[in-house]
Parts: sequence; structure tokens; C-alpha cells
Amino acid sequence: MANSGAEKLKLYSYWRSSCAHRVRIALALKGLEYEYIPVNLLKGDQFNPVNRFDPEDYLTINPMGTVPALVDGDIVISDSFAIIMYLDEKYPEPPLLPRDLHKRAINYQAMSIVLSGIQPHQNLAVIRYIEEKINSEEKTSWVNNAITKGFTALEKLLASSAGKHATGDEIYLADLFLAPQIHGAINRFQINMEPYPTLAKCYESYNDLPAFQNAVPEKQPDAPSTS
Amino acid sequence: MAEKEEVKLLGIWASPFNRRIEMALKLKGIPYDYVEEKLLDKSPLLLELNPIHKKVPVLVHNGKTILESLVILEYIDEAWPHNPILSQDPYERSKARFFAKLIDEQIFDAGFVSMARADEKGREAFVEKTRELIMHLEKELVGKDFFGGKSVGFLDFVAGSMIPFCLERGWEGMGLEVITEEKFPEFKRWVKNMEKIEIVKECIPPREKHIEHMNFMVQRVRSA
Repeated sequence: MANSGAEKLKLYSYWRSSCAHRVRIALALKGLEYEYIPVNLLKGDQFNPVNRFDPEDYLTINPMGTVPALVDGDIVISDSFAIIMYLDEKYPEPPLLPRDLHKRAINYQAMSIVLSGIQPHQNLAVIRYIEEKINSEEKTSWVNNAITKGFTALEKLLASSAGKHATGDEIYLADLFLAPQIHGAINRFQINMEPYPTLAKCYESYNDLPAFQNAVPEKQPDAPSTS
Repeated sequence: MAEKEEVKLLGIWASPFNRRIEMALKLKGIPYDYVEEKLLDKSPLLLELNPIHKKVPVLVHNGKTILESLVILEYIDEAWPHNPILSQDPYERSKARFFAKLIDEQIFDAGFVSMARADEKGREAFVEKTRELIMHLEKELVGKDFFGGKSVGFLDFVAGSMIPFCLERGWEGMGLEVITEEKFPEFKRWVKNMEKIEIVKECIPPREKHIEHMNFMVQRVRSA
């Protein structure tokens, strides 16, 4: 294990959070052990000052109240991109960014489309707000639009750079962001991936990779048990 | 999002042909006005919009009337092309259409119309016939979460609205168990998957009321 001997990493996570999902993949790829600390986004745990990770208040860990957050000794990092870059720089093997400058840029672009172009439009706070203020159809319409726009852009971006995975034959940053996004699109929003053949093929390519398969929401300790 | 679109759906709460339209509209996030019709007291609007068949569902989109549930489903997919419910591939489309017809024609007939008309002994034969037909759907589901693959689509809406969420209620009313876990494990698995989908759940008619309604429909078919 890459970090055996040192104090164990802690990950504040929610089973269904696609942002936490990305970090779970990164930790698995780097061979890092960590303590999984569940934060229940639905119950509003992150806003509850008296909670089960006494004496720490989750908002003191992450003032945004979002997951994931990584604790490495005295260092606390929130935001999936910041966490992943920290992990990539502290534990360089295997590298999450290619050496080629153009390919690196494509990875950053793909990541950004997901990170700011798609996920924020479908996170719990936003969709709850729309459903409450307007109605359920508007929520679905909003999410559909964000996903369609984002996936169409990703499909164009990756069509020429994809190999076995998103930007070549190795796993890179883009894959860590794509996998959870597509998983959520299919399972939570019933999105048909057929209009995005490159993305669909990338998604299939993660099926045989334990780092990806073990990070899925359904396999997390705080996932509800299925009947 | 475009300027205000007028979408109106005329339907009957118990009609599977109507419920499948609602599933499609909800999947695509299309807001619509719903008008509940009464089977035995059809509104002048319905008779005006569908003079040929006088049936629901009727979809009105910006003043244009679209009739026949399978036609309406394809219209919805074409008018609102995001998140498609039918495959782009012609062969897959042809399979979906073929099975939709099988469901609405042969399965609906053997599984309801003929079964209702028959006496107790005759019903056994139609139960067998229905099972034979549904076995074709069973085979289609092997290795898939839904007929549409990983996500729900056209055939899931057609089969779902008709079989588990309509015919099953009729069978229960008639005291028959047609689809068993033993012989139809894939089908049962698919129904469980369907029941987890929010937009499908919202379109399942309430069970007890539906069983009662199906009993009424059985009587109606027998006296026709």
C-alpha cells in the first residue's frame, strides 16, 4: 500500500455523490487505504452541528457542506478536483495526467465540462430547489438539458482523442470524471447513451477495472441494501 | 428551453395506453395539462378530437392532434429529440415496434379480451397462450436491465403499462397467476427494476382501485 505506516487518510463521502465517486476511483487507482466516513446528504447531516463524527462538526471540515472532503493528518481538502490533484502530486503513480500538453488540456477540458457544466445543474440542492419552486417536470427538463448539452460537448471533444479510454489507452483524469457522471445519468436520470457512442464505449471500458467497479455508489458502506 | 408549448393529454386513469404516454412525457420533462375522461361519458372535446375511434389517449401539441398510443410515443420522440426513447438503429427500432404490436394485439387479446370471454376451462388455455407470448419478452430481457438496455425506453413503457401495471391486475381479479418467478425470472427482475424508476412509479394506477376496474372491464367484455 502506498501510504502504509502513515496515518490513514479519511474520506468524507456519500454513496450516491458523483463527486465523492471520482475521489474513490482516484484513491483506488493509487492503491491508497482510507477510512470511509459517511455523510448523509439527504438527511441534512452536513448542517447538523451535533453529529456522529463528534467532536468534529462537518461544516468546520467543509464550510460548503459538500462531499467529498479528504483528511490527511492535519490537512483538510474539499472539492473533488483539488483532492484528486493533491493525491496525484503526493502519490505520483500511476500518473493521472498524460505528458503530452494537448492531451493534458483535453483532460482538463473534459473534467471542467463535467465539474462545472453538468454536475452543478443536477446536484441535490439545485434539483430540490427547482422541484419545490416550480415542479417535477421542470426539474427533469433542466437536468435533461444540462446533460444533453454537456454530453454532446464531451462527445465532440473526445471523439478524436479516445482510445481504449477517454483520452488514450491509459486511464487519466477525464475518465475519473466521466465514469461517475455517466453512471448517474443512466441510473438516476434514465438517460439513453446511444446518441453518445464515444462516451458509451468509454463507460463500458471501465467494467473490467476493479478501481472503477469498487467505487460505484451501490458498493459503498452507506448505500441502502437492495431487496 | 423554447417559448411556451401547449401540450394537452386526454386520458383515463386506468388505461395502459394512456399511462405509457405519461411515462414518456415525464421522462423527457415535458410539462402537460391532463384531462381525465370518463369511459362511459366521453367529453365533447374527446369526440371532436378523435371522431374515428372516440378513444384515449389523445395528445394535443400546439393545436395539432395526435392519436393512437404507439404513434403518439414516436411523435413525442421526434418532436422532443433529447433523451431518445427509441434506438437510432433501424433494426433495434424494428424489434421494439414488433414487440409493441405483439403486446398491444396478441398479448392484450389472449391476456385479457379472450380470457375474459372464456369460461373457467377456456381461461386455462388462454393463460397458456399468454405465457407462450410473454416468453418472447422474457428472452429479450436476458442480460439487460430494461428492454431499452441500461435505461428505460419505448418498449419498457409499452410493456410496463400493459402487463405488470394493467393485465396483472385483471388476472388477480380473475384469480389467476400467469407470470411465475420460476418460469419468468428475467421478467420479474425487469418489473422490480421498473418499480424503482421515479417516472414509472408515478404512472402506475393504484392497485386496489385498478383490480376493481379490471373486474368491471371483464364484465363489460363478457356482455358485449
